[in-house]
Amino acid sequence: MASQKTLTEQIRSQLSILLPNQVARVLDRLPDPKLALLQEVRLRVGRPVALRFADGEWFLSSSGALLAHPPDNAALSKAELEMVLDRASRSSLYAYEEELRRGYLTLPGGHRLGLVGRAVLQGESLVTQRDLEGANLRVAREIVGCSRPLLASLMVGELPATTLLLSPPGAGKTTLLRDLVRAFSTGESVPQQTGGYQVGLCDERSEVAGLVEGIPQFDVGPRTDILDGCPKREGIPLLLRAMGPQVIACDEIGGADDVEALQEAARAGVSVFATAHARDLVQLRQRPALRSLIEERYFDRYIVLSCRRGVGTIENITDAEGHPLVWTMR
Amino acid sequence: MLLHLSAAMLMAFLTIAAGFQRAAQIEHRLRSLRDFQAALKLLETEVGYVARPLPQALAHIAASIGGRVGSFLQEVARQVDEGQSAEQAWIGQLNEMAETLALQREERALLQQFGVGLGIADRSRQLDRIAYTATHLSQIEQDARPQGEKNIRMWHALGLLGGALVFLVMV
Repeated sequence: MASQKTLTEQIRSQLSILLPNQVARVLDRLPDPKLALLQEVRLRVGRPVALRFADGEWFLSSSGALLAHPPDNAALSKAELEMVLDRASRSSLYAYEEELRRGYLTLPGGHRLGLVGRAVLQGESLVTQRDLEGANLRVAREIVGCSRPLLASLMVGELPATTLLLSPPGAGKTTLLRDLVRAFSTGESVPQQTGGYQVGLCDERSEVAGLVEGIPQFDVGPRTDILDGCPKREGIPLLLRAMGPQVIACDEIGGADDVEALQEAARAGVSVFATAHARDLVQLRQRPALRSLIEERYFDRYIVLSCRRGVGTIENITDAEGHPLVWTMR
Repeated sequence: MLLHLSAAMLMAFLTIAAGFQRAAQIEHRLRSLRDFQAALKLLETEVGYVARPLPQALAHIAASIGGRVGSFLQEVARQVDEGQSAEQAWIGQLNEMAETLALQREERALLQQFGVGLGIADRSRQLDRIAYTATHLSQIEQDARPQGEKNIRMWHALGLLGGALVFLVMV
């Protein structure tokens, strides 16, 4: 309980210094168990601020009350959104053009500020965004040790099993991937092993390690090399060439380029931990690029997550053929 | 007699000091105008090429520029680093240090305008604003420098002559 309190206090202070005062005051008043469920703060110019919790969405009234329906008279002003941007970029929006192009800023604490506004195009390519009108502050949580019950199932002989984590968005894939990286890097995965594995983390969206100015905001282990903000098709070969990893981890695979990079890792004899958006294996098979990986039995393990009994519910773990493995939650 | 002589010397000294003080004010203004232009030139590089966040960029420039403008930039960097918006920190510190920087109404208004929205414009707009402000500061300096240098010499001379005159009259 004490650690949950520390975590919520951290989140409260990290978010409060960014958000408009009326939202920060609401966060100050929220009891710790409720704040622990906060997933997103949505800020849209001319509309009320919305707080999304694991158990529902609430709108902020002008008096600071949380309402089930959007009120008419509690619109966020453009100046308030600009203030959030100013604080998030430390008055240096010009230094975050690449982040604006990608649509998000990674913040201290590993939280992410998604941004939308008027797209600036060069030809057909998005160069940057101007006149921002909306932001989504996604609250990041690190749950150290959440992968421990699974570790024994994720070994094939003496090697880490190439594993794909599956779930719809917001079910805890990234949190679990982060802890797997930490556990294999520290050597928790195999008790008798003296050291951990060299892990190469291709953190394309800065969500796993949450690198801010070169400093990881989450514990990803002592033997993890982080390549931040790089597309997987270029990042995975770079990690293979430059860092000699035993395990490569990456978030949200999907396209043909990603699949090609993963196959290159397999040819190099490296185990892979990856995540993908899909409710289950059946839905995963409907994605053409990923179907080929299933058919060639690329992955040794599939872990399916959901929110059925709260974020991070593990529905099942299967082997390469989709047969469920027996495992117990310790 | 000794008291009279001492009073005359004191008055002469004060008159000379007043003249030199006025000359120093003009020198400070010209120095500030020049240093702000140099700072904006460096900021242009920081924003356009290095893309260093504003607090670090300002601290870096402050170390290069030094002097009163350097102190101003250092203080703005510190306040932004502590969470204040760049606009608030820049304008607040400009008001605070206006006398120290010896800024006159024209350049003070220009620099205040530069502070509005500082850091929340994208790169190209930020660069446009830097260039606009630097050009106007350069124009103000060009207009002020010939007369300013004459006035510096005049106040030095007036101070010295005035001091001598006061001494002679009182003795």
